[in-house]
Amino acid sequence: MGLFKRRKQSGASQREVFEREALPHLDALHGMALRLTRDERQAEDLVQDALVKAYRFFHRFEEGSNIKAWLFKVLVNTFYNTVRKEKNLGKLRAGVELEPHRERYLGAATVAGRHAEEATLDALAVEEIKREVDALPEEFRTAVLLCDVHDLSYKEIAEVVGCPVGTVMSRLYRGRKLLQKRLHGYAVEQGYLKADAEAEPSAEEPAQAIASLEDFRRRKQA
Amino acid sequence: MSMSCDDVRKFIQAYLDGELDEHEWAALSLHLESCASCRREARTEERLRRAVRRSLPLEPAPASLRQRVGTALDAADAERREEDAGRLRRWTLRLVPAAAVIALGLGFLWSRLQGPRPASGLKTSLASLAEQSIEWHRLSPPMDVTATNPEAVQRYFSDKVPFAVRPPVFPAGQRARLVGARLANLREHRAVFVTYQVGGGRVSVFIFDSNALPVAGGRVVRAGGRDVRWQEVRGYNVGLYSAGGTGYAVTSDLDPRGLVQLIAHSH
Repeated sequence: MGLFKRRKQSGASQREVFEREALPHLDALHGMALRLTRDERQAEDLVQDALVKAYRFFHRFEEGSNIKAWLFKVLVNTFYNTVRKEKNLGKLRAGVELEPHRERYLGAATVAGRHAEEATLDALAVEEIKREVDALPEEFRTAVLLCDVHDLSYKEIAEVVGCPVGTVMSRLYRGRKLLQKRLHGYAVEQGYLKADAEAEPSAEEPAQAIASLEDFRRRKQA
Repeated sequence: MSMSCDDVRKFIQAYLDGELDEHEWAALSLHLESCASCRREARTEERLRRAVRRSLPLEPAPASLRQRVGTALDAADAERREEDAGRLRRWTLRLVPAAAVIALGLGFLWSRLQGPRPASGLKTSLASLAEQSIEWHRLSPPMDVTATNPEAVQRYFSDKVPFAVRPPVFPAGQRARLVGARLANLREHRAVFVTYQVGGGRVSVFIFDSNALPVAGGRVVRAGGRDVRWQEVRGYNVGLYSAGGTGYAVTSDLDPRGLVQLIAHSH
């Protein structure tokens, strides 16, 4: 309704309003699609399909809410409904877990020190980081990308992927830890770092499962 | 409020992602200041974020994609217009018969509400009126009332038609004699048909409400101080005049001069 009113006031067509609001996010959508599909042609198809769908359902978009988050939601849903069906879901989900060779390196080596590892993250090649992000299990990858690359809030990510905020936090935690572990492994493998089983970052959640912020706040108040 | 290392490890990501409220943020910051281990953890987390951002900067989408999207939106617009047009067509097909029925219904109601057409309405042509007059004159239908006295005829129709029926009285010299009268319809209006014997011939007169049934056409002649509309059809002459809101259509097989004389001297 709000949008309709705005359209009336400005005298602009729905197409004009949509282009003005949505197209500035084309680069971000394309970047996200590329990381979701890991294929340029499929990424472009995905962006096109998602934008046409968003245009058709533009009247459902609530004015004042975050259009970027809404467009990402349409993009991710379109990906789930079309591209992912065509791909082998099993392969996607297995991701990193199918490559156990790095674990061997980690077990055999020793780490020089924590500071060395921190510095290594800064020194790692862009291509390698990108490769490891792409290798993350899809749900982790989506959460990490939406948060770290596209700056969406936990609430917006929850909206985009359709899960509770607590689940977003858990996926982010595990995704980042896994990424850290992979990059650490790569650094050791390349000889940047001496591996040390003790220093190996764990992708496991802390002893207590990641609680949602709401739980944490309730606990504090009690 | 102090936080344990366990809590800090759990929420360090929310801390770095800016998801904590100011009290939580302050408590975690305070802990980091005094805990080297957690500080190191936070630094590593931060570097990881930086590494991810650095490896995946926002790059412009290919120009070809922008073009493709524009074309796809054009197609969506065209499709929508087609759908709208289709919907309109379907509705039109459904609505036209309904509208026709409604229009007919309204027209019928309107005509009922209007009742007899007012004087300002469409006029009846003398020619068509003359046709009916000649028809009735020729067929000479049976009379409802046979009377030689005009007053008797007037009395007879006083409760049958919504206007005063005064059969014309022709001058004695014309030897015209009233025969009878009957109820009739001129168009959709009540009228009275009166017949006379004049010499060896006959004269028929339709008496009607001239306000309800205005007549146009014919040739206008003056006769006895009146305007008479004159029409000749298949050897018959029809003269039409009105007096006091009453119309008289006189048909005769007399010659025109004889009929004009008759009308001129009637009262």
